[in-house]
Amino acid sequence: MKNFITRSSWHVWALTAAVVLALYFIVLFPTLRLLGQAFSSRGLEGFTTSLQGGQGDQNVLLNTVILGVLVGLLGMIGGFVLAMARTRLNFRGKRLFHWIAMLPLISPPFAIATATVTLFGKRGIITDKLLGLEVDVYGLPGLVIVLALSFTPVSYMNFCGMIRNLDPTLEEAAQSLGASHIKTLTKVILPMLLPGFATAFLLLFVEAAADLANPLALGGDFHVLASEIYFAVAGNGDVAYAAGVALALLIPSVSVFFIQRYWVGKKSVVSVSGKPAGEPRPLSSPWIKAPIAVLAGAWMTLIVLMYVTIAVGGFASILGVDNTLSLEHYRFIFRLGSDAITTTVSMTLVAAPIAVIIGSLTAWLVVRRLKKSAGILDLIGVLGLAVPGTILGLGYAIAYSSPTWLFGHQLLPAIAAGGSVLGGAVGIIMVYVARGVPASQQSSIAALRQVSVSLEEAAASLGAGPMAVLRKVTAPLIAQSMLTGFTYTVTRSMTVITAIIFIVTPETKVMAGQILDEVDAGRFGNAFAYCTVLIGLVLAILIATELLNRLVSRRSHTSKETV
Amino acid sequence: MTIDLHAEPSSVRFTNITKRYKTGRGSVTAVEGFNLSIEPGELVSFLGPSGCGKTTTLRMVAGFEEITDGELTIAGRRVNDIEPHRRPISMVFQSYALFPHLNVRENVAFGLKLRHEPKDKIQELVDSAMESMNISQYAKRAPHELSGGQQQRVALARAIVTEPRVLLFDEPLSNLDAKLRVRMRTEIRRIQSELGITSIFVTHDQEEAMSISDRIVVMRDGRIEQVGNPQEIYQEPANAFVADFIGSSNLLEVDASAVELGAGDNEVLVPVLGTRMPIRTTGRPWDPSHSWKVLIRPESVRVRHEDEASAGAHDVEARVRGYQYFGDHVRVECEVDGLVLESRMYGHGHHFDAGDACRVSIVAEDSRLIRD
Repeated sequence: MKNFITRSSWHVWALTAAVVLALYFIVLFPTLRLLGQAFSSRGLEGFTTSLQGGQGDQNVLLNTVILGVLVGLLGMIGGFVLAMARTRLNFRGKRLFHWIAMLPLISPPFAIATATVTLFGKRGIITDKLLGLEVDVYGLPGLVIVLALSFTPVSYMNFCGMIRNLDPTLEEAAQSLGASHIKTLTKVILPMLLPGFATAFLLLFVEAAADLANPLALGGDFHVLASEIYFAVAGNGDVAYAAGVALALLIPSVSVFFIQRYWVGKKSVVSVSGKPAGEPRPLSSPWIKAPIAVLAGAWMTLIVLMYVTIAVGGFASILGVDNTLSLEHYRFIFRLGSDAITTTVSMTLVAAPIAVIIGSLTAWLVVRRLKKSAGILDLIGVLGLAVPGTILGLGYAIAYSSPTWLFGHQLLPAIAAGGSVLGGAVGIIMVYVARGVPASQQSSIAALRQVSVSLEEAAASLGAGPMAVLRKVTAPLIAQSMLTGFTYTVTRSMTVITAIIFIVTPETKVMAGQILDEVDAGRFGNAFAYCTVLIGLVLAILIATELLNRLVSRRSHTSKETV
Repeated sequence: MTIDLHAEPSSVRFTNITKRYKTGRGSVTAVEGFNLSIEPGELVSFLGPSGCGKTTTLRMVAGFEEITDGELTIAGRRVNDIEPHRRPISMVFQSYALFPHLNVRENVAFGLKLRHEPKDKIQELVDSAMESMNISQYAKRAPHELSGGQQQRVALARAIVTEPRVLLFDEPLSNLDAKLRVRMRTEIRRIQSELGITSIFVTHDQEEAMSISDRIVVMRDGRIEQVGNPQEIYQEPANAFVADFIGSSNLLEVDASAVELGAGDNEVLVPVLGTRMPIRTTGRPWDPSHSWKVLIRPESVRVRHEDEASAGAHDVEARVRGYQYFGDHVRVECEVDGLVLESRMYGHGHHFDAGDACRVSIVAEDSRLIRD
């Protein structure tokens, strides 16, 4: 049963219309235009060819599925182990552990790929110099490792939340009934986390299957659907064919996303209703502790190794070949890349607040205002995340690289890709917003469900109209989750390349795009320097936000971790 | 349409108020044909078990629930279609609903600030409201730093500071412990009569309703069972439901064929404990086509040891089934002719053991014949 707020007032209608219109332009319209192209005859050709394995001699569809499954499994296990280590092992420096585990999330896509080549490539520091092995990381094995490392933070976060919410008394109950530590793990903890494993696997499957940046940098001859799309556009300019291939990737991605969201998500037996019934207790059995510690330790070592390589690589002539100290790379990026740095940061800082506003207003409409249509609006909102970046970007290229017409009137000029207004910046910002809205929306929905309706009723009974309630009560109470949405959008926007690869223009340089160019040209040193600067900037923004947050909410009773 | 908030206490009139919710399969009626007129300055309680529609009715006054049918007026003006924030009411919530992002003072000032009152006026009104609720010393605290009772005082101060015409209480005391509840209800009554604000108080606690109200509305299944002052509700309950809900009661079956009309008004002779007792009916006259019950309050049942001297009243042999000691009173359960009677006796010197033989008498004047 909804409350009084469902009553109409023109403000609310105006706001609803504005939100729906915004969502339409940032996600729905590009997606629909893409589908339009995909269902053209050339598009359907691309679609059927993809289903049959693609044009070349390798089966691209199968490659994509294999990559997705392997990354899904590895990342799922990795996330579980890291989360168990953080929540259930006793050691010092848990905050540091957490930050390192999350590091891949705030770094650009090529960072780990480039470091992997430098460390484990044909002439890699470890494989060749140290061990004298003949290894080729290009192709499937390298991709699996890099993608798993990159996306594990997603499953790690997911598991952390779930394990925290496990009622520790259930384990005590099992043990008091005679279950050993191992049995408690296999019969109680693991079964309760089953939806978590499913979620982690599905999310990572989609991320890996749809990723474009790493297959470009590290795929070698191993082609996947996403790279097929890229080559169809960048190589042949065959947008319709690309849209058809995109459809083949879109269908499984979107299905898996919604299966995860509406089915697996609901199957969760872990209570998320209120406060957990106590802190998770440290594990006591060495038979469980040891493997977790070893695996988590190995994983962390690998991540640290990667980032040390990135940090050092920017200051070496050619890391692994000529290790002399050199500031050449930094000189290069500050000479040629300062443009890209300021553009990226400013576009991000424009996009993030917009994403937060749209996301939290959507959440508010979904939770408090709408009845039957709430589900539809919720779905449109999260579409920006459900549609893989490559495909959303292609949709933008199709929809916005020429003016938008409505009933014979020009509604919008070209706003994306070359030759459009503001050098295509508007299109890129819109993509940032589209990718940021879902996070903001989801965290705000969760927060709003915790805010008692009686607070809003109290405000109304004291004379606050619907808009005043929203401004003075609701918004301040979900400020924390809006902040989460902000930091998420910042990290996503700063590091994204896949979703904007088709609409970056020479006028609007984006850091992630510059890194791609440097990696393409084999100038790894420059790429490392860019990555380091980019990670530094993201961290700076995150820390500044957190400090601001502490300053503002010193009085607020809600305390929450960010990132 | 806005109603001037700075005004005399107002009447509240419910005319055939009905609330239906649409569900998947048709609709559910939460409140039906609710008629009531509340006088200016009166404190009326809505009392009933959960799901009886009392809170729904209150929320219709606040404007949080739309009225399906009927008319609601405040101070003679129809308010059915007025939005909650434009109604001259304030509400005190069960959960207190204090804004967690504001401190105590800001919470109290919330409503006044919305009206853009001049700063010094807000200052003055907030100060006096906090003073009267004894919370001035917590002005700078956050709500979560206060105890439940203190939070409720803040909620009350916040509600009265805007000088509403009607004050609504939605089970405001149910989250407090027993002692505090008694203190707070006295406090609420004091403030309410000082300010003379028309108030509606929703509760499921009959003792609370009895102690605080000018009148009580007893509800069941969305309908009014009885309206009356606390004495009427307790002494002259309209039916067995009201009698059973208010206080504890012995309700005895009546064999209609054995009832004879008595001497006085509304008095009938009813066979109880082997004798014909003159018992008054409540409200309606005797009508053998209905089902009736005899209501005997436990305090009207006297139990004495077999060897104690009789007080002269008609008494019968019985056997003690249970005995509980409460300090100021004792509760005795006796078995008479297969019936179980509960007795409550105040003062000291009453001691029984289960299994004791005893004699039981009933104060007929305080007993009533009521509709089932």
